[in-house]
Amino acid sequence: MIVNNRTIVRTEDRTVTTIKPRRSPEPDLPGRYLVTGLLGFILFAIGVPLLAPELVRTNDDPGVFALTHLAVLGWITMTMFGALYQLFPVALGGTVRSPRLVRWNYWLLAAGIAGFVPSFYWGWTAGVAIFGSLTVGGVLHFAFQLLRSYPSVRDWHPMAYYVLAALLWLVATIGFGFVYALNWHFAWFSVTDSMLAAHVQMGLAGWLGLTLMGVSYKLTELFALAHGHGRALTFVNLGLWNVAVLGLTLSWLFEPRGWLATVFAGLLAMAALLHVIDIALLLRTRRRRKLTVEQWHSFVSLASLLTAASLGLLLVLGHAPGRNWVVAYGYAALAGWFGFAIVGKSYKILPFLSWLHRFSGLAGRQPVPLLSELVDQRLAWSSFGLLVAGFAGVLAGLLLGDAAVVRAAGAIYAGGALLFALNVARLVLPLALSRRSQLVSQEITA
Amino acid sequence: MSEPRLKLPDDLLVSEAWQQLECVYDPELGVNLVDLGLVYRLDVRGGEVQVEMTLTTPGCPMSDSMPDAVERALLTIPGVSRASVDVVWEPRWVPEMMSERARRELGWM
Repeated sequence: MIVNNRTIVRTEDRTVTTIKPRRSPEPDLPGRYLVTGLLGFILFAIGVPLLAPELVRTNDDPGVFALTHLAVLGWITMTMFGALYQLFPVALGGTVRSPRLVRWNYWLLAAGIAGFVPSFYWGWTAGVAIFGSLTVGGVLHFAFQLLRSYPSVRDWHPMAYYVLAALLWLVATIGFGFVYALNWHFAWFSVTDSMLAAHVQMGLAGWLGLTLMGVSYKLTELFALAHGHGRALTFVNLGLWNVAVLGLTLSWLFEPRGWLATVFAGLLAMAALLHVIDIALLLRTRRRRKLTVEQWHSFVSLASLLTAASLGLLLVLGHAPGRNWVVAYGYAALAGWFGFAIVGKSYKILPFLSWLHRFSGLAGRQPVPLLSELVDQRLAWSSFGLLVAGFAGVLAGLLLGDAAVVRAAGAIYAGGALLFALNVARLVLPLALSRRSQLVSQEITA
Repeated sequence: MSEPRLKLPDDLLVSEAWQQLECVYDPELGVNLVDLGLVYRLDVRGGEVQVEMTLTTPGCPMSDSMPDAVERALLTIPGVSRASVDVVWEPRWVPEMMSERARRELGWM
């Protein structure tokens, strides 16, 4: 008997439910987002040393705006969209609706970001408005697609709730960003620092933060075989985090100098600490004891989260000596918290995609490689070392306001990013070639 | 002319099938499915093998490929005419179901 894609099998002693698993999307769907995200990462890594003088001076600069949006949209959001298209069906058992429309989503988004970031850099306000509109279209379309797919979710793991909340914050963030982008061209009203801060807070903590935390809970359980961890703290953190982001956003908008902003910034820092403690407790239950290169990336990511939360609190309290500390806050969050998490998780997600489509049809019939064997481990550790050294150096340079330090450390970071890209290329190129030959043979057969 | 079908006693096929499943590895963990404790039941009747197995979690990324791999592995055994695999979630897999060998490989003990 088949009910809702499940087969109910009655055996002698019990009824068992089997899920007919045909859920993974075609690899090129998440793959195109992930590869574009990688390109965004490389450009960001190269952009940091090139823009060192601007970065140590102020956050209020077209070049810094461009670099920030390159990181947020071109690298991190692109990667998260790709990861969610992969994980939504696989990890949550949901079905993404209208896959053909989803393919259009990529082109809309990619075209928007490709025009939006240079327009920012050159201060072309009409370009910001036009390409910003395309980007907004792509982002809203993604959010809409995933939100309307939510009724199909079968495994209501905490990740499902985190991503759901994140999507709502994404819509709010992009709404504010859209108004600001149009306003830059049409000059309807004056955008204050605190209005920008509300936009940044919703994007960083609301959209990116909640997505990353949700995905981290799921992937840590999966890959570390961490079972039996209670979920109470995870849901407390979800509530606390959302209240803090909402409170902080409203404070920035309506009472930027008031005490409420300090209270909610403190609450957000507390929630960040709670999340780190929760992940540490989850890891204590892991049965796979040996720490992998992915997990070391996660540790640096979590340390960066605490650094960013502390810097954010200092900024709200008015203890920052200059605007370069605002840049340092953003850098700790983007390159540290999100960046290390993305690079680390790529060592799991990309080999899985590659293995699934190159070797899964052979498994059981002949020996096939393990996922870890698809990644060059020496290259991964070398990249990690350079990224950590470069990241720490750039952060120190930004806090000290020293452009030479930012430039030198940024170059080291870019070296780490290039080694990572080389490792990814080793994974993705055979996959792309095998897909191409598969399509050619299908055409010949037809 | 089709090849004559090889007929082997079911109890011999059962032992062959378990051995064959020990060659199917979880590509993420590097441990075979039998040692992971993922295979709950294996029955052979008249050359037809039926397996009841689970995965480490319902959101396992390998949920597409592992049952297929098991089916393919079973069909390589001479004398097996048909193999079917049911993925079940009850009882839910827990790490304690792993063999000592698997625990050692994962560094749990």
